[in-house]
Amino acid sequence: MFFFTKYIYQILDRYRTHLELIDTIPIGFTGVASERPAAVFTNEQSEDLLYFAAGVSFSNAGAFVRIRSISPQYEWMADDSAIPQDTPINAIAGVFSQALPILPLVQPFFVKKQGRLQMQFTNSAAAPTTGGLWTWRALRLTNPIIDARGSGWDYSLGFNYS
Amino acid sequence: MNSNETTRLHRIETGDWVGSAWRSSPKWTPYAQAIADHYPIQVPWYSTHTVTPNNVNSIPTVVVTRPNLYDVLIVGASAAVISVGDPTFSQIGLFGLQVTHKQTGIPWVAPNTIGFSPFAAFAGINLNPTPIIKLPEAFFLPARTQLKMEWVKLTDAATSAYTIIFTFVGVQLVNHASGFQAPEWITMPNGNTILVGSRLPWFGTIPFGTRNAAGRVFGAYSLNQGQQVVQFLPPSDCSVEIHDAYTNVETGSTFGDSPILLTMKITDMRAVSDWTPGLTPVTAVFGNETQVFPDLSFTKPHLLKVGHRTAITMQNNSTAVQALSGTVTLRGVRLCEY
Repeated sequence: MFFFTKYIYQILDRYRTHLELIDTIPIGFTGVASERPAAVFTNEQSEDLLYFAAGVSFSNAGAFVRIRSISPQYEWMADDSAIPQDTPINAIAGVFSQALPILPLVQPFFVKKQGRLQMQFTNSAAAPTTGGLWTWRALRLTNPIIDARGSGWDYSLGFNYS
Repeated sequence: MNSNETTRLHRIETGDWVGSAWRSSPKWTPYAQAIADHYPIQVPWYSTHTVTPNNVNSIPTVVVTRPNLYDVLIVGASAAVISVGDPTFSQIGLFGLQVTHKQTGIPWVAPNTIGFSPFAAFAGINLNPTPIIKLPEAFFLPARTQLKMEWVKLTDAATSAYTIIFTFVGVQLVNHASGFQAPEWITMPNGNTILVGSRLPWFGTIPFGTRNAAGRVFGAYSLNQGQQVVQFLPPSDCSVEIHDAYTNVETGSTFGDSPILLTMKITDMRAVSDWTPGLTPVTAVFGNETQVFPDLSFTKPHLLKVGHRTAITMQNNSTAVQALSGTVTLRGVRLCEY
């Protein structure tokens, strides 16, 4: 059910071992309409990671999220409007009670070790959620191949990859 | 017809004809992959837009996306619907969408009787089994260009007020190499070199029925009980790979009888032996947003050659009620080189 594109195979090929990682982060909604709790981050890992899919522990069509990676910083959501519109959670993450409780990213995302994803949530204006858990399904990339290109994968490596 | 299309008669270059569901294949289409191969950094991308379509009359509401910093491949779409007074979302199928790339002026929806497709033919609907659906082909949106979205009510009946939060889902393609320019030509798996932009999402929507004499206004479509009608898509100016099909007759139209009583037959007018030999319930051919495959795939994409057109014979077998505001949508890939 996950997407394995050529880009992802190029990354996987730079590591000898790929280990399952499931990372759950509490969102911290307090049930207040339209609240924006402090941004939450994925847990830092000591290995490089590929994030493949996400799911949430609640069902709320009116809750939103804005995601960016930290180190390096890439915005996932278009944000060049004067008032950027955040993205409904259901467009990114599966819902626990639905047919697809984990929803795959169309392009798994690579994060270097000690890197993180930042998620800024906004609660529903009409039917706010209390609590809430966000879960990432990922692969830990261990035992990197070390050669003239470096160790494992890096963002710059694709320029020289054949 | 160019050499690419000749080859496609034998092999349709859509990978394993990637289906409508978000998880239906672990790969992208060969076209999308060939474009992405030019970029060493690929980042998920979501572009979300809020619109409250005009629910009083059928005057379009226009939303224009903002230019993006990077080139983007748009692979699918999702929509959240916030309704007023109608929590069942039963009227989702009554709001239509047309998407046009402003740089090229090419629309995604075929300009036929309606010229719009229900937005659930583009996007999965939030809490349904498939919250994101794929476009029939990924759309390459060059950096600093825009999409225009036109929203319109497809019926003249009263509808609730809706706010639709529409999200394009795709991948940002990043290449910081000095002097890099987006690819203009790519090589497909069969060795053919084609222009970027020569495979575009295509939607063809046909009303289920006709506009009656008393209601000759946009959106007044109906098929009375016991009646049959034939509707056509316009002759295509390019060949089209038709992949899958969506209908709103179960979720948007006003039809108070079993949907299996609505039957239809699809015909390629230049190859009349193709497709359904007899009338088939719409539920066996068309999907809707409440199902795992909102755009129900054909067994294999059908190549509608340039100049051909599609006819759909529709029949209402109900003895009691007419079908109002129903539409059927074919989805595919438009093959043109501009």
